[in-house]
Amino acid sequence: MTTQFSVESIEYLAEKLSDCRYLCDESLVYLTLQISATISNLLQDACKVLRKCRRNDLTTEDFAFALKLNHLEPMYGGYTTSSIERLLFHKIKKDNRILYHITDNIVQVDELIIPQSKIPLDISIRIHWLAVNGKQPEINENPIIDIPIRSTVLKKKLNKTSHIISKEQQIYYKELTEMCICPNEQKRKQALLILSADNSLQQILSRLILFISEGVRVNLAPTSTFDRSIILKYLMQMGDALLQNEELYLERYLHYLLPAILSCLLERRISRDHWSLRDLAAKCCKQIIRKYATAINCLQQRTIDVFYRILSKNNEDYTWPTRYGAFIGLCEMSHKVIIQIVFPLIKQLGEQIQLISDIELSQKITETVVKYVTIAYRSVYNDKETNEKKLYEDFGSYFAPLIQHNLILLL
Amino acid sequence: MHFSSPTSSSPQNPISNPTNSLSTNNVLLLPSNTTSKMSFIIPNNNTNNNNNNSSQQQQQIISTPTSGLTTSINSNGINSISNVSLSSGQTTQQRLSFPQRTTSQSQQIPQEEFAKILRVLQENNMTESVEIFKKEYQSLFNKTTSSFSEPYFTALDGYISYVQEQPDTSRHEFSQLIYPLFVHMYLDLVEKDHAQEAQDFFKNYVQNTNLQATVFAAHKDDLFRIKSLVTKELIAQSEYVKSFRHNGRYWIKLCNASLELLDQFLIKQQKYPLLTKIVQAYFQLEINDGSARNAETQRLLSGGRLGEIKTEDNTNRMYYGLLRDHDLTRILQHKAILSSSTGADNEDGVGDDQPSTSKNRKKLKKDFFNQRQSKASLKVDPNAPQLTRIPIPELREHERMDLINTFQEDYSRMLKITPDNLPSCCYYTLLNGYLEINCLEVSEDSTLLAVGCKNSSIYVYSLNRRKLITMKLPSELERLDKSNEHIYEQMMTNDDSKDNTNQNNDSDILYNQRLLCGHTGPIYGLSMSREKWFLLSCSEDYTIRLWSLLTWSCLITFRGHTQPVFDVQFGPFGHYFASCSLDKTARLWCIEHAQTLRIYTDGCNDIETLCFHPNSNYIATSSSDRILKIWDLLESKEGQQMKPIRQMSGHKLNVCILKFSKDGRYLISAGYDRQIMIWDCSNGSLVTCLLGHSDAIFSMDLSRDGSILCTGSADFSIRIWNFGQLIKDKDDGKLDTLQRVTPSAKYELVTYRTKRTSTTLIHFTRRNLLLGFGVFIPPNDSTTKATKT
Repeated sequence: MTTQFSVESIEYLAEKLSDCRYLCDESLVYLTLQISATISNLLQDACKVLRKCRRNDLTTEDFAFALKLNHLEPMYGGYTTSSIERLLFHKIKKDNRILYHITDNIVQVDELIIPQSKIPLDISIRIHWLAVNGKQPEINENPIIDIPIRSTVLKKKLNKTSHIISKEQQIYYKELTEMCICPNEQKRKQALLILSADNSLQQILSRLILFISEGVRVNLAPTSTFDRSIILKYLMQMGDALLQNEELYLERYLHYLLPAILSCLLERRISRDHWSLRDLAAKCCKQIIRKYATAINCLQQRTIDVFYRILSKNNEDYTWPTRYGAFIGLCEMSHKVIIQIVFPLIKQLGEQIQLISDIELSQKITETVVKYVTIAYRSVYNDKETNEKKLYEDFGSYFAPLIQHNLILLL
Repeated sequence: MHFSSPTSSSPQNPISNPTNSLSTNNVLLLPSNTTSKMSFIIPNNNTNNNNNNSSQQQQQIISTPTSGLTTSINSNGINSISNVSLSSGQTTQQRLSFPQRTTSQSQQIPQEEFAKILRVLQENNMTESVEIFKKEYQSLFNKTTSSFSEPYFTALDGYISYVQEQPDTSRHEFSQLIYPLFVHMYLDLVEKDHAQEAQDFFKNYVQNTNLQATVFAAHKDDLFRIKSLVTKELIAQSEYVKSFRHNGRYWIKLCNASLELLDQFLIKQQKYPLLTKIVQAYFQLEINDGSARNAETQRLLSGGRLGEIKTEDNTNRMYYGLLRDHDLTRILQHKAILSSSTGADNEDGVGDDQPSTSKNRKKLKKDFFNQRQSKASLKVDPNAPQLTRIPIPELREHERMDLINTFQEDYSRMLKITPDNLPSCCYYTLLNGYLEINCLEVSEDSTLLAVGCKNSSIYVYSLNRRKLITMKLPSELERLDKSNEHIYEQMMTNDDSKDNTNQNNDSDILYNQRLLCGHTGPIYGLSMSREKWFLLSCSEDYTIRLWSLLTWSCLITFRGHTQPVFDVQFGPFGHYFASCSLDKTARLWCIEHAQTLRIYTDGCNDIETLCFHPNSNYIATSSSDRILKIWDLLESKEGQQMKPIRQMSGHKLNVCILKFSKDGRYLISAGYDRQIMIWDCSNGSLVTCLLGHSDAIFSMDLSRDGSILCTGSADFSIRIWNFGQLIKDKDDGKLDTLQRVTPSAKYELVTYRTKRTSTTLIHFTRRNLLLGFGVFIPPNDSTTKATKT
């Protein structure tokens, strides 16, 4: 609340206002003190209104009030909230008479017809139930309570009832999940749009997450017979949509969501179109890390550990599709991860890929590796001529020529 | 030898530190304290001694100036300085006399000489001596002895270290003096044109973290004000200084033992005459019976601008009981009796009948009043004022009928709020009104909402789906049959076709609204009379207007205030109302007269909010010095100034809302310092202080049966407290009175949170449904961006 102006700024103003006549230092210091104190006093007066009106933001009108209270001349044109209007305010000085006016621009009728400027809205009142019998209903108007409630009474009640959802919400949940896994492309897209935009999902969020995680579990089980890849893909799309929703608070359900996603990513067996499923899962994984990883929960570190263990083991514990999943999981995270963790692995990987008999498989993996590594490499070594020797040193004889080729293409 | 005593008695007077030794003498430059009244309650003979002392010293000074002091302006800088600093007491005496000699000195050493010497020094690369020489020169010719503030520093430091030496049990008693001492010293420094040193002084102590936490915590608000006072002129103009220095003495309560120690330190030892002088001029020490108070209690009660409240001020008798003989109270009390008998069965099945038949009503009315009267007359409340003490109009016939009707409909179905049966809350969010809406008011029966806006207009909304009623025109009224029982209903028009502009039913709340125009400045306060006939509004344009809610027009404009009016409130029985303003007065009015009935002036402080006592005999006000005051409506004796009957200090920041408990005994206050303080009106003492909110508290209401307290705050929450339990515990003596703070866990029942609305008005309906009102605060673009990144 205390204001302190610098002497320099006062000096500048004094010179400007008095047509470049200089003031001595002493008077400048005195002026600075006086002005600081006056402004501070005015602000204190302005705060009286602020307090009376139960606000937290000081407005220009409050300051005008303070000026009025101190019998000072008001600052004309300073009270409008829009800066454009303030600019339009002019002062005319002629024959010792001062006139303030707003320049009236000629406005074309066409401009008026097209509603481009926002019309200020009138005061309106909305009613909602903040609490019913001591409990706050989980509706849009009420905030999501994620901090522990201090009152013991409420705590007891909440624990008992927090998992009951209303009939409407039950129907909503049913419809939504059915739409998400129906074969109709149009409907599914609509459902995904809802998932990524509706902020009222918080109440059924736990169930949606459970739906995804259970779905993944069932469909990944070795006993499931029908083509599960397509369902898994739909589920991953749901997860992706939920992650895109800015309003939702997923952190509490990550222990369900992340394992499901990782399962899809690192799945052992091969099904139809499993590459795109893995790509999608990797994308989800990246989003979770981006959104929820903190130094405290070590989410990123733990996920990287999982991937790294798979990639670094030389034996045949893991199938190539799993390794592929781990690889893109790492690559999606960030360039930093690629440079620090993936780069040292490439050489060894190249040697192993050469041993794969399945041509399609080796081609796919090689393609992906080259794609990610090249981009990451380019981001670090931005010089135009690439050091061929160093490339071979880093990435081995299998990948080096491919990467070099791609680097040239990127230029 | 009187003179030797002050210098020799100060052990912190090393010869090597000339400034220190100076301090004891320099005080004499201050105006002597002979003019100031002696304000110690305890008798002491030392003051005489002290005065003698000072006069002796003065003589000494006058006698010294003849001794020359050429040494300090030697061409050899280092020499001269060492000379002074190593000199004994005599040299310091000589230095003291500089101010009187400056004129002659300045003739001796003109500017050129000084420059020459400086050049020589600079050429010889004697940077240190250059510095010292400059300083010395300035001290001589600019009269600003750099050491002027030194005595202030040593005195306050000395006192603080003295406080530190005290045992833990009573240290807080002594530390009460630090803040006012600090302020007076700072103001002294500024007034004597030592702005820079004053700033150093301010910074030195305010930035001391230890002091910040203990001494200055309760006075943050004022410290800001003090900091902006940097010149003499500002101090002369400042209202804060007026209210701090000239509005009475700083009141400090101490126990006897501490007082004696303090007396020993300040008067007998006279180590720091400066302290003694300030204490004598501005302080008043009051002896508290018994041992030292608990530190926590003292901390709670501190915060008033002028310390605590004189105990004597709160001894006058206050009739806080209710007016049992008035019909209105009788009806309200009746309801209270009902609710206390668990409210499930209302007596004799009266409420089960249809209330609308006239026969039934009359019968009810009859036994209602007769029965109650006999019962009420049995127990006479000694604390209740006479009905005639403040004349109050009796209820009109139809009002009585209305009240009985509402009693039947609503009070009999009132919800009894218990920890297991928490109230439901219906929340009204006002959209698009942030920075536009200044104040809100809801009618007693919760059907009308009045909104006061910055653009000086008032809107009245109907909260139930009924249209707002309007009285018929006089010509139509004349035609009515006045003996008809439904005359009051017939007086109102039913065809709303002309004023019903809002036909869209989807925005159901705006089904009907009225606009009241008349003020020429922002509206700051609104109050509706209980029968919904009148609305009062106060504004920045210095006026109060009375509006009729039947004809929707302004009836009277009350002029009298000379500054923006900040609050207005109807008395509980109507008829009277009170207002308060930035012109530092609260005024009592009556709706039948355009003139003020009473003016309550509060020295130098703005009065910000007020509240009527339920028996209409008192009003409570809160002012900018953070002291609550209760004023009597009864006229004081001829010529006597109106004095508040109760004063309470304890809030650390401005108070936003005051409310009396339903039985009139307790006053509850809350505000920016997040404390909900409950005061006992019978003696002005603090019952307890409830903590829990994390931001300013804006609104408060008590349930209709008076057992539940509800507070709304800027931290987007509403908290519900078990007030009845608290009072019961207090009466049973179970309430821990030593540790007066009650954290939220003990009596708090529940917290409701809103999204982005700070509740500015909270209201219990007659059936104890909670209504919250607040203006939605749109998320600020800049803040949301900051949180995203």
